[in-house]
Amino acid sequence: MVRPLQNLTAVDRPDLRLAGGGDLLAVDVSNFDAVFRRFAPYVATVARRLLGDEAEVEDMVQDVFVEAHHGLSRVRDAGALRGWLGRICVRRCVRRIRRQKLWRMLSLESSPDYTEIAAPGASPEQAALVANVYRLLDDVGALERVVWILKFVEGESLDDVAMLCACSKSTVQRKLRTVEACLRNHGVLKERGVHG
Amino acid sequence: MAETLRAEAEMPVGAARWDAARVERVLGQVKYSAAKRKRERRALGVALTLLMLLVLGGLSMRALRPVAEPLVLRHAGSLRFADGSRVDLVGEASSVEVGPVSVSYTELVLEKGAARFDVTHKPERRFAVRAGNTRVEVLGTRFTVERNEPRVRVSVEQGRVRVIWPGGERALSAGEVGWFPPDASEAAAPEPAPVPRGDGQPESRPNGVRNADRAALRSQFLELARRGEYPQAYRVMREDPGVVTNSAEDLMLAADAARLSGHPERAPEYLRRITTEHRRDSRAPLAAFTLGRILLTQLGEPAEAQRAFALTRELAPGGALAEDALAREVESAERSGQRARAQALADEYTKRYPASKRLDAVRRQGGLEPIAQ
Repeated sequence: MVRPLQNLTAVDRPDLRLAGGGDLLAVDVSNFDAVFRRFAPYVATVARRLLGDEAEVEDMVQDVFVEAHHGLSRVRDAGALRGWLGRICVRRCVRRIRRQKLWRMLSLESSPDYTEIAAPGASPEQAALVANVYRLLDDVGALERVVWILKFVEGESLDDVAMLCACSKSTVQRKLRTVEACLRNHGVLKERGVHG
Repeated sequence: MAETLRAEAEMPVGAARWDAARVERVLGQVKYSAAKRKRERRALGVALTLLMLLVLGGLSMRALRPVAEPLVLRHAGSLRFADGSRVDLVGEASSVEVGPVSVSYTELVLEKGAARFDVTHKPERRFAVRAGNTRVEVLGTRFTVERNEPRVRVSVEQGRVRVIWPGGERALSAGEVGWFPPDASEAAAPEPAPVPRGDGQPESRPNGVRNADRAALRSQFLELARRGEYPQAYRVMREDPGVVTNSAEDLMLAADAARLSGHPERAPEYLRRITTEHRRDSRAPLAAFTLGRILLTQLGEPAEAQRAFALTRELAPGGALAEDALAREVESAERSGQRARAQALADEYTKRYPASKRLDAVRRQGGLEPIAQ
């Protein structure tokens, strides 16, 4: 099946990856400030990629860590912190995306400007492709969108995507196929495939 | 799939712009929000705990409330009431029966002999002693009633009583003694002062009304009550209670006049007399049912109401009112906090009237699940 590609993300820092990779920096679980300083960039990056909107990132980081503050005492293994924060972040992002879709449907909110989402070093053509794909992802379900981004932008394994989204591996595969069909129907994949 | 990979390979998405200054600023906001949330949760927890304590307190108070408080206890030659009132029989041959007893009304029947009554003053409770066709009504006092057929001797030691007999009534104060019904010569004697009634309103007409006047008043009362002009009928019977004789019809009319003229608190005494003195009369079940309804809906005495509805069924088990009475009994039991009793009654209703349209409502009232159709 699909293999995660190493060059999908503009940032190569392994500590910004969602899951796996081990605990690169030791952190004292009982010290909330240290946990925040260590994992806030990671949560912020995940939120930015899932939501596609820089303006939402700060709010999302706050929400995730306020929730984490309440439950941090229950986490005993520092190695599990990243996965735990990732799950909170993914769950909250899915909820946020669903709410945004509803508001957009009611014309209470407009889509974010996805032209800013590409990495700073991306070419104009790449930036246009990223924005186009994110706009198309607005039309699929919230979970489908998140699953696809985790898999192909973050490069997570199917197992990790399933763990982060709290669903089964077969559900992840089904969601991926849905998004692929959508992208193919809109000519993004074919076009890029032919000319890429 | 190769297409997909090529497409994604050219899709670089940037990381969040996150520096040390931003980390510290957001950390401060997170800590503030977390502390605020903690305070809110604690306040909510305290509020919920208080609410729960209030609910539990209310429930336990309700559970602890004596549902069927023993209002009267028999004790070797005497009766003792929960409020401190007591009755002592005078002589071994004397006998007192307990009539209707509730928090608002107590009636005793002196069957024979004599008894001394020491009644604790309770403005919200009416206390009456019946001896033959003579009634002695009191609020709080000490007095002795003695039956000496065909008359009754009443002597008052303390307070005041009102003695009512067919044809008249009279007040007796401390130290006074009277025989009732009085002789004709006594009846024609100068009329005593008006007697304050239980509700504190003075009588507008003096006692000892002349027979001719009474006859005229009585016809007026009957005519008005039968025509449904209850306020006027009630005014007449208030002016001269003697217009209401001890017949079931008179008592029923008097009860109707009282309750339908806006004086429901006066109706129970007449209805109770029907259920005790005219138990075999065909109107007795209706009187008991009406009594129950007044107690339940107008006087707020569900425990008493339940007894009245039970009496309705006892007086006419297969009567037209039996089903309604049982349904009302469930409601009264539930409202007086007797849940187990309400449940048992609802169960009985289910067995007796399985096809009733109000079956589910009664079962719900009794705390049972509605029967699925």
